Amino acid sequence: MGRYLEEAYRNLRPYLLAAPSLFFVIIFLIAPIFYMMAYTPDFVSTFVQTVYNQEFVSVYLRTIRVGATVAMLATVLAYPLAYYVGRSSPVLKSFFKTMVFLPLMVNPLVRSYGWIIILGREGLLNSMLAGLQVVAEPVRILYTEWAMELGLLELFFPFMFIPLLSAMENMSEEVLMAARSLGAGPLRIFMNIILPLTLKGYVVGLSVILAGCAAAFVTPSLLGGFRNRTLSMLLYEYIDVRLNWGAAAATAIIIMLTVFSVNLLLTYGVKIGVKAK
Amino acid sequence: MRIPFYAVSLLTLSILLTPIIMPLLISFSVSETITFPPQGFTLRWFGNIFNYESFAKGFIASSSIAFTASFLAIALSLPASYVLYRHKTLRLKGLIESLFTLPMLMPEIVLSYMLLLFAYRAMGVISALSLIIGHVLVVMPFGMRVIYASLSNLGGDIEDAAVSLGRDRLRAFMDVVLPNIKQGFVGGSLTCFMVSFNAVSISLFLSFGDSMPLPIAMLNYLQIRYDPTIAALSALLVAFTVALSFAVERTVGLVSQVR
Amino acid sequence: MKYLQLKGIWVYYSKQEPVLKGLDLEVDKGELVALLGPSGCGKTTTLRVIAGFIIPQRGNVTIEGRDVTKTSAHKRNIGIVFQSYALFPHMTVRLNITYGLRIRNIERGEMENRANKIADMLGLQGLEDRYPSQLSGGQQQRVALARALAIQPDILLMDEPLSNIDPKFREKVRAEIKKVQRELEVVTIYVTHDQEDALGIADRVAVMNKGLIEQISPPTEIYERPKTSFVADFMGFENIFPIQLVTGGEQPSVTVRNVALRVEELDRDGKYVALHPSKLMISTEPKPNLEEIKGKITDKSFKGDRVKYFLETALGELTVLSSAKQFSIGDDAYVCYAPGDVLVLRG
Repeated sequence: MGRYLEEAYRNLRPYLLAAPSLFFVIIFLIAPIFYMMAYTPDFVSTFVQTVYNQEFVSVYLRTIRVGATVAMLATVLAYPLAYYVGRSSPVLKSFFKTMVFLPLMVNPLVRSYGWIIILGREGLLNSMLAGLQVVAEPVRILYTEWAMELGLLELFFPFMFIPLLSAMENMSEEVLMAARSLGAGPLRIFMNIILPLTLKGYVVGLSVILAGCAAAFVTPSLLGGFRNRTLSMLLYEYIDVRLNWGAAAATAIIIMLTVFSVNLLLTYGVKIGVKAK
Repeated sequence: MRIPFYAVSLLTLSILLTPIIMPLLISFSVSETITFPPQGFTLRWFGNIFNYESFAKGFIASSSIAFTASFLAIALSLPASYVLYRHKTLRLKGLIESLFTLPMLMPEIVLSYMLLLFAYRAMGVISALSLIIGHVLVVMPFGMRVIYASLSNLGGDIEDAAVSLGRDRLRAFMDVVLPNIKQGFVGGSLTCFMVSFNAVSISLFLSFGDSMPLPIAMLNYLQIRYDPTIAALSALLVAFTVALSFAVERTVGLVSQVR
Repeated sequence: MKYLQLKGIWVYYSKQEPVLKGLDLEVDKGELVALLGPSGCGKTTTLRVIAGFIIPQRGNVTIEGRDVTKTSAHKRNIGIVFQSYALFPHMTVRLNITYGLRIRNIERGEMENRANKIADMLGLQGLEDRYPSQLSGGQQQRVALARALAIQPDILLMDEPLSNIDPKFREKVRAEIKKVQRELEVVTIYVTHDQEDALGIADRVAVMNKGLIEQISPPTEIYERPKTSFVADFMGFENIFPIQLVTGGEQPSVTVRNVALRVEELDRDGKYVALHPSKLMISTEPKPNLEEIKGKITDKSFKGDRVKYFLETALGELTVLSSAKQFSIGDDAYVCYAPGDVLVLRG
């Protein structure tokens, strides 16, 4: 009998070890999701009411727009930088890694505040433009979608750069030389060689950026203002201002669904894409 | 070849780093609004920080929350990472792994709201507890990643060696694995601390009165005033987090964690 | 009574894939058995079953008559040398070696005694206070061995011990291991994928394939008389062909691709024929007392003291390992063999 107990214990042990953390996550992360849905009276109709609404749709579209723009900007900047840094000396690489990693240590609140200083009416950018006599009056940059996008770009750039850099480092110089020797020009090399080989890293970065933009609160609210609301700002408004907790629940679900589906799509999209080859 | 490199690097680095330097520069400015270039030199704003109780209290609150949350998160992460590392062929492994990555996918603000509801309705009262739970959830995946990495570096043979020599699993783990992942422990704890300290959205709906973390206090201030006090406070915060991250770098080699 | 016995061991990693399929093994006291096979054949899994890290879904493990199949690993008295050595980085050499002794609460004097003895035996004097990171690869291995032997194990398990050793030193290290094993008379199971390694050290060699032992025999026997085509192939018999027809009578022979090969003994169940390249001779003319096959040299590869010739013959491609270096590609030549060297295999 003792033997059986011992063997049973051995088989169960991994589950027993993982149990506390699992329970923690289930009770405080998963259960609240269902709780939130159950608690809202008449959840389905509230949900439909909230979502099928001009305001909501425009906010949602804005959120997507912002996410896509940031992703595009990040791609344009990160790819070349990762390419060059990936082929530099270890000292330079380490320098860039540190420089890119550093902002991540700083509070997003502080970073947004920095952007306010740069983009404000009397901020860095406007002072420079006025000084160079490019404009007569201060340009209104703060509290626009562009300001939000800049802030989010700065926030999420490292998450695109770092996986891309890894992927570039893994891509051997010899593969590129082979392609060149066979006659491929820069565009072809990018499309046929660099892109496919770095795709996995790129997709990781992409999913972080898109999900992050959908969920970010501090940066968009400080830099975009209430005239340029994103989904998370709308959520905040429903809770703290409009006290419409039903609509808040619906918004929360939408945010979650968006983030999850972006992740799923991208992860499985890559797998399917790879299989297709 | 060189010129595009310099151009892109310059552009990117300035986008990344200028927002961090700005508060530092403004914090010494004499003017009461945010103007650039900063005029004059004064330390008055640094002094002003201490006029606001909520900042000092906020710092203490953030630190205690971060400390507690890190402690709990590491305590939970250790067995979880161990299971994921040692039992790669477990039946429910896929499910377990997804459950552990879930907190990273969950938007902080949504989590904050849901915990608010859950705590308020189910537990009857919001307390520091729900705030800490929120922070633990946000921070746990980071802790797990660091500890998992140290376990990987160590390898599983060492534990088997100790077991073959007669130690049962639990004591073998304590004798031989724990002492060798000390680095991961410390690095993981510091990372968790930093992430918790900087987390804003999670505290949005869960903080109240005395337990208001520093970032929330700063946000509240920003709604009334725009003077460089916040810049001064930001400068101090940056110094604080940079110092912490050097500490992490020393123990764990953060840059090498970058994947 | 056999010292170590494995009976009908089945191990599944996932529902559909058994790694071990009813493995049987018997080892005598004091014997060193090598488990030889390609990666994935299950040799490391077998080791882990003996050690107690894996409990087989079916089958028994018996040590000195005791059934230990379900005994946990830490209660078996087994010493293991891991491929990675697995030394405890935070403990000195001395602490590493005495770890097992401290767990067994061996009295201080006796513990020091044993530790010193084993350290001496393995040439580790003077290194006792160093940490593993301060040792060379060879020294680390000896510490791993010392640690495993210090507990006076019933069985010693070694997992690819020479794979991290510079090829130049392998023979020397192998001899040292053998010497220690002989002296202590400890039953040893030695896992390797290197044929030379196994043949050089083992009392018996067990060739494993896909979860089963295909043959277990002393080194000379397994090298000269493999029983299956897999084992033959592993031992370097490159010329293996399926048999079409077995013919008895005064001059028994087997037919391969319509070519008759003379054999010494008749085996009606023979399915394959195998010829070892080093038992074949290459010559410009047929030799008396030997059978011959005509062929043309298609390729030649220099092997140091010998040359490997590839010949196209009626049988198919034959390889011959010869010390005759004068032949060139394109030459016609005869491959000569003695009927006694033609191996007939049943599987």
